[in-house]
Amino acid sequence: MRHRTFALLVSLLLLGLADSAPAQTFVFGAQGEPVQLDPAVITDGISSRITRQIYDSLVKYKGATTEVEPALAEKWEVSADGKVWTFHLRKNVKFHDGNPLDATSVLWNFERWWKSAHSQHENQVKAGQTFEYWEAQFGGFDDKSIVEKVEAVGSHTVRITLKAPQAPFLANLAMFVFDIASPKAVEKWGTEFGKHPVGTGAFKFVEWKPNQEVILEANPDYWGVKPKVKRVVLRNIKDNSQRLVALKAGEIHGMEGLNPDDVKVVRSDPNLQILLRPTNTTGYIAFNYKVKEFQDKRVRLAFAHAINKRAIVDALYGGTGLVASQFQPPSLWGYNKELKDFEWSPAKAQALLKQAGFAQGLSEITWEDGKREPLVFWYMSRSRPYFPNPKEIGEAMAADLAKAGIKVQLQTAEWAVYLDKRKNGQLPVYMLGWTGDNGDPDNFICYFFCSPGAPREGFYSNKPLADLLLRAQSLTRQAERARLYRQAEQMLQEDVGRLFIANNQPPLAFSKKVKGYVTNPTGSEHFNTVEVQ
Amino acid sequence: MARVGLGIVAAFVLIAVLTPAVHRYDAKTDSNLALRLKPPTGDHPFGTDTLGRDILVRVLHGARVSLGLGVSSVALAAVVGSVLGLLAGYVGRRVDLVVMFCMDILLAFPATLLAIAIVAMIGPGLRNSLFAISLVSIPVYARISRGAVLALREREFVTAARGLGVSDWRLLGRHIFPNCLPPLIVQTTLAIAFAILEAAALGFLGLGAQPPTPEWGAMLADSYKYFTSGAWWVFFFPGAAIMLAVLGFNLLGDGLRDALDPRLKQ
Repeated sequence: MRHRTFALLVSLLLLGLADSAPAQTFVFGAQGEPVQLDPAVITDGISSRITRQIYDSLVKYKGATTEVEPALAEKWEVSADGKVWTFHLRKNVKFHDGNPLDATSVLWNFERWWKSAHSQHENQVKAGQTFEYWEAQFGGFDDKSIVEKVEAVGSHTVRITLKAPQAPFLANLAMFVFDIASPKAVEKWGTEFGKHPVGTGAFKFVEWKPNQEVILEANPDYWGVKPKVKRVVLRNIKDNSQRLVALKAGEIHGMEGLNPDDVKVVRSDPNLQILLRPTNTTGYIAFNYKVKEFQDKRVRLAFAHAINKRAIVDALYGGTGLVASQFQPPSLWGYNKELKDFEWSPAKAQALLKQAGFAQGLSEITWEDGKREPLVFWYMSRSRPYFPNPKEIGEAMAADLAKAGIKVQLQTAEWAVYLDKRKNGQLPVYMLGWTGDNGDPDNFICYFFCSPGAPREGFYSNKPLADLLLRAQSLTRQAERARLYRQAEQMLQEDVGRLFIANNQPPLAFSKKVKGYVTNPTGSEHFNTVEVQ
Repeated sequence: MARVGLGIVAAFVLIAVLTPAVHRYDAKTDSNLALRLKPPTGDHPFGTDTLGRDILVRVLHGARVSLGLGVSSVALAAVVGSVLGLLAGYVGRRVDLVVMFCMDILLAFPATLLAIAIVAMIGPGLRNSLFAISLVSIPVYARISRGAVLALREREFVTAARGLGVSDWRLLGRHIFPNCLPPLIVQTTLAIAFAILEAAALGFLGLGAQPPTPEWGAMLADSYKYFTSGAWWVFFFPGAAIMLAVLGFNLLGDGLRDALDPRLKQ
């Protein structure tokens, strides 16, 4: 009740201000509660939406692209062998707690992420706060990492030496996890730092009301584009429909997580607008190669011809989806324009099944260990940008498959269980997808296909493909790498290793009073350019 | 009112029995994305859902799923529960203590929560939710039949039969059980209403019937998000079906109680 009264007061306040002067507060509808606000240990979009406002990284994504531009580092140089990177930090930048940003503080941040013996690293890991992304992007901790050493070579110069050149190095550094935190504040709060975040960003942390909202205020000393609003409120509204109702009522100014069918509702509302995030996400169907039937390429091909992707994308993505012919979305520079997609043809699918010895259709599978069971198609229990309504999409695909003689039973599990089963290679055929972190094709395709036979990829093994991808990772010239990624997509398609269904341009809805919101394919969006008129 | 209830129940039973007989339905292939979310028309009197499936067809076929689940889970619970109650009441002593203690434990949990917990443990699906719902309904039957036995045990006709040397089993089966029936019948009708509601709740939470089975609760869960885009028919009809069926069984149960309860008759 108190919450509602407060919301009413805020909206009254906003209404009052609406016509006279620009509003001082930007209220954004979040999809849930942040995990915590220490960027180094989070992996979810709800938390990073907030931390991106509070912190800066050395380099950042430029506008609506994944190109990298200066942020806390004003400029940088790289040695000819691609191993030594020298970053020159911006001068006169202060953390929100008043401490200066200098080479020592950047060095301290790197050591916290990288060295397992670093006292703060140790504390946080003990408290269950693991540095997952550091491990994934930079090869591991301590000696396992691709990072050889990090030094402060001047008061505002940091030098990072790598053991081998890493093509996506800069793109990695722009990710939200590598935002620079105030060492003094981290030391002060220890494992509780995630509740008391201090960075150099455009907004300072004010308050976190659990299950309600997180409040930030403008940082008047910000080094970049000064914030246009005085306050930012990120309000937690879990249900998509309820969030839209709040937007229509003017309680919030913007939101993400629209039901696909609500896109047209927003489009037809004269007070609202839709912004699309450039596509950087692909939904797929993966086969388990421990299932004998799926070891036969003709069966996989039958799946490919049976599913009517065009109809699914047109009907179930609210007009923001694209049919995917390959893993990388068209926005990535490794995308293969020449690749032709499989034709939708139930007849072809039936013929292929017949050739493979399933003239009566396919409804049971045999695992390698001889166990027979009904063919279960796993659909996701949670909506993700690449499959915004996974149950419906799953049902539609199951219907397409049934029309071609593949009778599947649909099943799901709670999200954590689902991911766990997938990781252990227990799902025979399942839906999942990927949203890119940094705009580099390596982050998209290598994570999945660089370790042949991994249980988490359904034991899919394609050694030539993995070799090609690892080679692409070690090169530094983009044109050369792009050629290899295009080739990789072709190899993947020739083998029908996996079925790529759709890309999505996740829609965000805003009041027409909101100007200057820039969507980014990685979801890293900064609110300092946002105006509320 | 009881007649209205009887009418509704009879109508649903007819639908549940006749629909599959006169109309073959394959939920697996029944979707047409080109026809999705069409409002009610002559072709589709209840409109179409998000995959372009005819809602009338699904609601009608859903009657068999919901009613079947309600009736069979209640039948199972009634048999197990009344046998346990009869034994507890008739044998008494330690058996009574143990059985009723177990029933009290089951009763200590809110029924819906317990059903959710059971299904979460053994996995979702129609059969498992049937099992969960019947398990949570058992204690009520045990209590009712035990109470009835306790009251009947000391009645003259029972003492007389025992005096004539009738065996325990025969006494229970021929003399005591038939006299426990009226309250059990009333309870059964009311419990079917509860079971239908419970099945819908589990379906709504994704724990009951799995797609594409046309189950009312699951249909409701799939469609409530279309509230904001104005497609009212997708959730209205399954919701109305649940409401009507539950109402029917409740009215019928109330009527039966009025007719069968000796205390109300006097």
